[in-house]
Amino acid sequence: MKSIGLAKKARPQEEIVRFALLACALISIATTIGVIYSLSVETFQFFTHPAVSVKEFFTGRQWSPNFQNNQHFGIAPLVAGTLVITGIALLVGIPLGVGSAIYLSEFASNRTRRIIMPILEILAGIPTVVLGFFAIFTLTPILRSFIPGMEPTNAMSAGIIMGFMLLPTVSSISVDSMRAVPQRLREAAYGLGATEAEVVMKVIVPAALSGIVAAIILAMSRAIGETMIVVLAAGQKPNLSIDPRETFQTMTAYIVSAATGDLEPGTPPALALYAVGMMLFLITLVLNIISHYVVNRFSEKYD
Amino acid sequence: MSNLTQNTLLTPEERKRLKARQRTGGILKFLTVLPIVLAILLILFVFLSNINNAFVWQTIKRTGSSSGMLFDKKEVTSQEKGFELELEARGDDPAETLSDEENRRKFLLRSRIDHLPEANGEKDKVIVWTSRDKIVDQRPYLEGRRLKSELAAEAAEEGYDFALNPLLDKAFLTRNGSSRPHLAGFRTAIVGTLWVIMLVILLSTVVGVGTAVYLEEYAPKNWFSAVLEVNLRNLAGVPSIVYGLLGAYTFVRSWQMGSSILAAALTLSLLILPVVVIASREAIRAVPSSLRQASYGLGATKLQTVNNVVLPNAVTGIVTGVILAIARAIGETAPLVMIGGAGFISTIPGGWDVLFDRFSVMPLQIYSYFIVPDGNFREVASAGILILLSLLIAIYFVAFLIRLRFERKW
Amino acid sequence: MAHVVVPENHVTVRTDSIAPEDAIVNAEDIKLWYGDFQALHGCSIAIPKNQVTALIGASGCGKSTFLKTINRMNDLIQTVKIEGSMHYNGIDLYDKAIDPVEVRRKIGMVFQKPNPFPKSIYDNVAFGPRLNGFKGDMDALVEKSLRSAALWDEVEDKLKQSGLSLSGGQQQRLCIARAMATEPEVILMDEPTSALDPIATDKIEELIHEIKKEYTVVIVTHSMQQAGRVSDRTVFMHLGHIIEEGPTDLIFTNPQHEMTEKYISGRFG
Ligand SMILES: Nc1ncnc2c1ncn2[C@@H]1O[C@H](COP(=O)(O)OP(=O)(O)OP(=O)(O)O)[C@@H](O)[C@H]1O
Ligand SMILES: [Mg+2]
Repeated sequence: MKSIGLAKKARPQEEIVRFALLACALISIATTIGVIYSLSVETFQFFTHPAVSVKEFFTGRQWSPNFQNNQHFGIAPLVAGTLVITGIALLVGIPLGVGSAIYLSEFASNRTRRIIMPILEILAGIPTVVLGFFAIFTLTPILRSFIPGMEPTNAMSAGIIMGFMLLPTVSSISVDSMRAVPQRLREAAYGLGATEAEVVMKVIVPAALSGIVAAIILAMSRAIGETMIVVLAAGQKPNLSIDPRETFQTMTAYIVSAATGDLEPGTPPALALYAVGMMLFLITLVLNIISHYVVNRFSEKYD
Repeated sequence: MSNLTQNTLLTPEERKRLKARQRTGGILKFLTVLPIVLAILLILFVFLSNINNAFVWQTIKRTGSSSGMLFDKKEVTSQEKGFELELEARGDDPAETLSDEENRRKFLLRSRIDHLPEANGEKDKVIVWTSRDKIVDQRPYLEGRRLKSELAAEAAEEGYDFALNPLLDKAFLTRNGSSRPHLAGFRTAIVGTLWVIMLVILLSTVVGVGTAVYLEEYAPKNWFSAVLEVNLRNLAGVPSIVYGLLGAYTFVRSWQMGSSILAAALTLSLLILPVVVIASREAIRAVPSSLRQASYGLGATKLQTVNNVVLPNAVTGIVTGVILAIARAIGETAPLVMIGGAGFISTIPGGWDVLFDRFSVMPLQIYSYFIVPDGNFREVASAGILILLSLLIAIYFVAFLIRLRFERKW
Repeated sequence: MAHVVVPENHVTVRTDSIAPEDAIVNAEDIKLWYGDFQALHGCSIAIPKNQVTALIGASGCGKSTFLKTINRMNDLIQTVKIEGSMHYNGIDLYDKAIDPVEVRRKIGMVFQKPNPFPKSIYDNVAFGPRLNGFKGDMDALVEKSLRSAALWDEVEDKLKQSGLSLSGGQQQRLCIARAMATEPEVILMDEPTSALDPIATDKIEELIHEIKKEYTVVIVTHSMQQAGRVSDRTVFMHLGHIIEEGPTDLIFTNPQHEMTEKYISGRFG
């Protein structure tokens, strides 16, 4: 047995461990600072470059960084590409995600749930480069066979596959928030003569709505930041349009194309890579913050 | 009031309405099963389409083979001579490689020189399977099977070879990368993935678990921990390509690591750090505080309690969390594209300075098959995809088993 | 606190008998299993119309379980198996042609913990009628229900506020109003006051007294005093058996069965 006096003595070993653990925790702070710093430096250089105007960047309608005589840095086409594809992805991903969540949380037996959860985990684990290959080489030919005007790379197949990619995210967060609805609300609804489906649609889903909305916002952020699927399946042509059959370049796709192309460091096209990255970072950050706000602000507090 | 023939409590109208409500409910229930069915179908479809693509029927024109064929404009008179020429062409020392037993064996595995003995009236010949062999036609398995007789006849007429070529075979696993589809192998990518992932496991586990222990056991509840927490949550939502930009700017350029294994491992470790931390925290939090109290009650220090009570009881959760995070790191492509990971590299990473070697990893190699203009790489990519997916499924299975085996109810 | 065993063939002691035409609910030999565990061992009682029937007994004796067999809430638990018959106005509630949903529409329920939906007070009350496709004046129905639950005066000005914003006692009365809005004939209450303070409890008890003019009430309670105050009839249960039933004053003043006597006098838990 140790005496109390001994336990109170300062232990260098304890202090070293505490310090090491603190250092670990600080690495995540350093990461954030690193991200912001590395994005800022070149973004700043980009915007202060004589060939670039801030106004054009945000309001211009043409993105052509590599045309020597007609160089334009209007981000609108990249944003359009990102939004069109994100829109399709959400159109596919929300019903899939929320629907499967309703099934898993409310209709499936425990056994079924235990089988299906790992399957969704596998879907979540398929690398996006694999999904991108599937989109371009399997889904696109199928879509092209019956939708006229579909280009060889297009927003639609990228968006559809991305919707499936979002399914597990939307589903698992929605399941969590639906399971968090107290059992006694289900009982109350059944006790009033509601059918199983009415209990779900009129009580559980509305009560879990804040969690579901948060899941959707998070999914949106993931869709905007997704890279490989769009690089492979949506193409590399900046396109200010809303036609999902066309080729688009998203913000992420530009970043990849600029990083893999032989751009001379310090030139506007190479710097633009970081400016676009900064935009991407800020947009997803804001969405993540909103998503958390929604959960904290609007979720019901039951005692 | 009592009416024994009646078998409903409702008026006929209400009864009809209830039937309709139940029908709507049935439809809704069906609609919620649909996403699950679609998801399963997609997974199956992804696998099957890649299997279909990875086992191809090829028609090959062997332009690279002839007797006494020239290898880099020098005549090949014997097999041994061929070996020497091939080694020279690769920039290796023929004498050294061929005399050392081990190196010779290694080389022979990769050599493209073949010796055909006398046959059919033709004399002995040394064939150099140069990469100039051309794939004239290549069909996915199902289509090729359907058209088999047609294609075979066509090939025979033109003097081509026609055969089923499983691109995913043992040779694919052991060959290095190549810019010729039918010679491409996955070995560099596999080795690269192993190196990178080993480092990632090391780095992310140490830092991730350290952070989790700090936050759960040490951190005072003040603004600083709140900042840490919010920061981690937001990091979890940062797109992976942004981590790539961080890596490219900081590790590759500022710290001059170049497009190295180390840079890749650092980038991926930071990328999965939030996931590891969140999983580890959950595992640590699941350890009942009564166990901690008991430990403190016996006079243990904080460190002893963490080491002897908290971590041993949280280890299953931590390990599962790390495994799943690693699975994610294995499949990540975009950040590594950003830090300049290569599609095709000729040397296998290794040696004492392996951390600074250039590298490729599986998803990068797959992506690189896409960038090459030669369409024939698509099938090779499918072979690579199958390997990657099998690895991931194996990993998920292990995590699943661990969870099943050690699931603990407090 | 001796563990008292009830013989399997125990016959319920009945102080009086209820004419079939007075009974609205008639349970006969109800046996219920949760998986392998038998929670009810053949319970038979008649529940007379427009009276308050109290179920009392030690914790875990099967009061809630029995109560839920009346409106088929137990059907929601997958492992449950039920035998016996339950008639409501002469209709077999467990008949194959009967949908549990219609049973619950006719036999409402109020739970131990107030469980208003996270919706407005108005929407809480209107929930049931809307499901049933109520075509009349919804505002009037909501007001009538809230008045019957003695809540109208307190919430008149804040019908759009969330039901969760009310106090515990108000929430429970809201739940009673909600149950009454579907216009059931029977209301089942499972320890409706156990989560409430004494003042709120008084209000609910008063309310129960009021509503029995229009409804038949079956109430589970832990408190014998409460049973004495609110009920016309009392059913004493033990370990899944109905030991004794009869008019409340008789049970409390002159219990027939030894176990009832012990329970009433507080000599076993
Ligand atoms: N869902 C269930 N699954 C398995 N057993 C159950 C379930 N619900 C109740 N039981 C068991 O059935 C028995 C009767 O339970 P019930 O809830 O009806 O008792 P009760 O008389 O209402 O008790 P209390 O006064 O504590 O509410 C108990 O032994 C209980 O453990
Ligand atoms: Mg009970």
